[in-house]
Amino acid sequence: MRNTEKEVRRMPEILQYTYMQRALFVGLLLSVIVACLGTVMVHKRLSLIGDALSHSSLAGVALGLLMGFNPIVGAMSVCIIAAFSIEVIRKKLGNHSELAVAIVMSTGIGLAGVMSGFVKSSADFNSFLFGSIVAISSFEARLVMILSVIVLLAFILLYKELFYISFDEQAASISGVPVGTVNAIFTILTAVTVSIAARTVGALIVSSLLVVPVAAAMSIARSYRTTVLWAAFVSVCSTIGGLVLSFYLGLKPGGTIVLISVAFFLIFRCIAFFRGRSTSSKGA
Amino acid sequence: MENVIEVTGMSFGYTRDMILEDVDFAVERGDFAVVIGDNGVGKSTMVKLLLGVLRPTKGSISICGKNLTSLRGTGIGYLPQNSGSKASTFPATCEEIVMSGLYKKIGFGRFPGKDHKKKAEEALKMVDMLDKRKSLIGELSGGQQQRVMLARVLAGDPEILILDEPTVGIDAESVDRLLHILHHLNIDKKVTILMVTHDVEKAGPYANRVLCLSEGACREELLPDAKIVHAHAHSHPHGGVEHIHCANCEHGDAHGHDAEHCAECAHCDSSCEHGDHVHHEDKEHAHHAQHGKGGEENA
Amino acid sequence: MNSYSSKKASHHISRGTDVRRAAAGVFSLVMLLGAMTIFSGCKKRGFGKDAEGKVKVVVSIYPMYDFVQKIGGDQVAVKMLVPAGTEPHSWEPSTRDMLDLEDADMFVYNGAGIDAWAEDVLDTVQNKNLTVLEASEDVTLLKSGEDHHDEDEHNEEDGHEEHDHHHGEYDPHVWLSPKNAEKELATIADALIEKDPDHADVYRANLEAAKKECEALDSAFREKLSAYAGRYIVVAHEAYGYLCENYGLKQIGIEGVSADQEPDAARMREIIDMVKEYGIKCIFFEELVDPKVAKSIAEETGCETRALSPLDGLTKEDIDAGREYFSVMRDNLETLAASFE
Repeated sequence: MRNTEKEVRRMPEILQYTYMQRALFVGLLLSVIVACLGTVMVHKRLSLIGDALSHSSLAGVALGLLMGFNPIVGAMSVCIIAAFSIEVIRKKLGNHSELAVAIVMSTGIGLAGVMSGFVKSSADFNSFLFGSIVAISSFEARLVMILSVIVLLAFILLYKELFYISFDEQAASISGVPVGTVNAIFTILTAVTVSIAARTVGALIVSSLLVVPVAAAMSIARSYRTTVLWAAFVSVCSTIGGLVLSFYLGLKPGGTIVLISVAFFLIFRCIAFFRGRSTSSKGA
Repeated sequence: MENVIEVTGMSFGYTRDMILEDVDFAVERGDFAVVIGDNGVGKSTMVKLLLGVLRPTKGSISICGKNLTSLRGTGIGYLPQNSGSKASTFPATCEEIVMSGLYKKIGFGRFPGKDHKKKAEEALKMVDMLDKRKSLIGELSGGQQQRVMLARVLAGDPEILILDEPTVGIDAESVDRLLHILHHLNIDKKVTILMVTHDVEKAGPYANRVLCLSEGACREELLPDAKIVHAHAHSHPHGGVEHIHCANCEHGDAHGHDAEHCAECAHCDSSCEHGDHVHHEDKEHAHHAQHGKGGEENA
Repeated sequence: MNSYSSKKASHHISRGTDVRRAAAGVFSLVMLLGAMTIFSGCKKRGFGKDAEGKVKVVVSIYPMYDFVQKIGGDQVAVKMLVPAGTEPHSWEPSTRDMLDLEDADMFVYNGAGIDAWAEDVLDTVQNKNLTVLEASEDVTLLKSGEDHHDEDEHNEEDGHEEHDHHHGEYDPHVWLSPKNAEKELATIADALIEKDPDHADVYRANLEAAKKECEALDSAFREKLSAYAGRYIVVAHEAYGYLCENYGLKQIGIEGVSADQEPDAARMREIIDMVKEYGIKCIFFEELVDPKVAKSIAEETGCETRALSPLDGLTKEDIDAGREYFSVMRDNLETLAASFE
């Protein structure tokens, strides 16, 4: 009895708290742009770029503390350098382009590990680098808003170019797509998004939402456009769902969000499997 | 007739070892040129050079009279090797893929309009894939994928079409269908075609110019059609010469020999004048080559 | 012979670019190693000549460093493993730290879980001469999180108590109660006297002086905080159990007993609700941990934020500025008292 009363009273509660409003709002924006960037990165076979960049940004924080400049600036600049290194290495490796991410990630982790040994006045390194979705400052919320507008605009304006590059980079270049410029724009946007998002909502959420929703979307989407839309949908649903569950059940938000997106992936794979069986049985 | 592709003294190597050395050849407007040669002889490298993806170490390439520095603005359409199978994991519909071929018409950062969509549909119609336009590329057969990829190239209205082994990995029927489409483009749409293939038996009858890129003594040379007789005779002692004849549009013999290609006779007839003209030029070209360095070496 | 050399030469030419690339690689590696040597040069290790004739003590964390220094005075040379300003929960010893231990006479660690790595480290140390001291051995340990559970009405519905406290079950921050600090100081003094009986008088005198300061600190706390008994304090992590127990306060930890956990949305709401319910006016954060969560709660509830030091570690600037246990604790007292006004 008391429980049901509580339920009724609780329903709008989730929106009564500023931190939850912010978490939902920032989560919504970030999940959309991260899904867009993820679609690009997955098709460039750079799925793990989120992990690589967030680990490299750790090195950036260490460098910032060591050299005495703002660790967030350090994180962002190291992120951009790491992202460009991935681009360069990717081109050199040809068929093994996915190794580029692993190489840069290892370098980032290694550098962060070594440099953290020299940082004396640092406090809890990770706490300054990795944010929490339930503790977003108003500055961070504004930063994410601006970033989202830029990323979304770039994604919509360059949608055609991105499609072409993801589909066939060489053919795109031959058709006159400024492949270098478009890649550079998205390299920078991805790096900035990963460093800001890692700082705002945590590295786990960014690096997973770059990949899992896209993988889920690819199982059921019937076109590239719907792949992007499904990825954004899965990403948004996971984030909102994760926050709601965290709010009511006291689960850790980051992990919950990631697990929900994985659940989406599994469900979509099942749908694709049964759909595939029905079409093949029709064919036979 | 104007030379749309002219390659003079072109050499290329990734290291000090040259893959291609001192290559000379020309392709004229309206040609259907077939490039043959053994595996690893540098055919794909040559295509990359023609496309401007690689720069020649020595010599020059001119496309439509302009020295090739970059492909932007040139009317080359390119169908890469295995393009269909590479595309098959990509979650996109045929229509979306063909639309990407309209890139140059739409422009950087702009959105496609209705006429672009119509153009894409026309291109799909040309390759007889209009009914599959909403299908995912991955759900099509290899031959169908290849045709969609061709449609993408065609959507850009290329003056010159370069194809790298378009017949690899697709079944015999699809090969015939693809070649038929190419032939139709060559004759009706006046598209100049340069096709790298090892399947000279199938492609030969449609070609009016065969360029042989081979290793060993003639390695540095791209030989015009006269030499093909030699190269061809090795593998196909029966039909080689006739195929070459066909290639030069003396269609009677060739098609008599190969009944399968009778359907193409009509096309050949209608373009005979064009073909003859080319034939004439070709002979001259062959003559040149024989007096050239490669010719001497080969002799 | 000739053909061999020419072959070699041609090989050399064709590999020219690779050689250059390899050289560049080796060069950058050397640069990196060089940089590392320079950096590590800044960080002197091992007890130097200054330590001759003194008791060489390695300590785990800052409070131990300060306590040993207070008792030992000039008779000891102290090295702290967790560098100044580092949050000890997330620290691990490096191989060079092991060398210090091999060279030392005594190793003092707090125990109760905050320096849990100490026991693992000691297993590998071969120094037969080393006296190992767990400073908290005489302290009655509190179960972590215990103090606010019992009367916390939200208790039954939240799951945060089950957060894994990687310390184990006890709150290790014993030194935050001056009485416990006194006990730890006495334990350290006993060990030093046993190790270095020649200077027993010095150690006894220093212990007496420190004890007096502890008592003074205790009475200051009692005096200032007596008016606020039963008040709640919201702190970054549940480090203040002993302090709260001594002076009748109740702590609400945003994060568990270790500082590096992320709160969940339900815990955030719970804290915000408690802050509103109890009319709490201040959220305390720690200098060594990003105050983002404290700030977020403060923004939500209109509280102010203040820094309260659990003395896990002090920054190098603080140590250079002459700050130590008593001054930091007095600052903490001022901060607490001010927040209640």
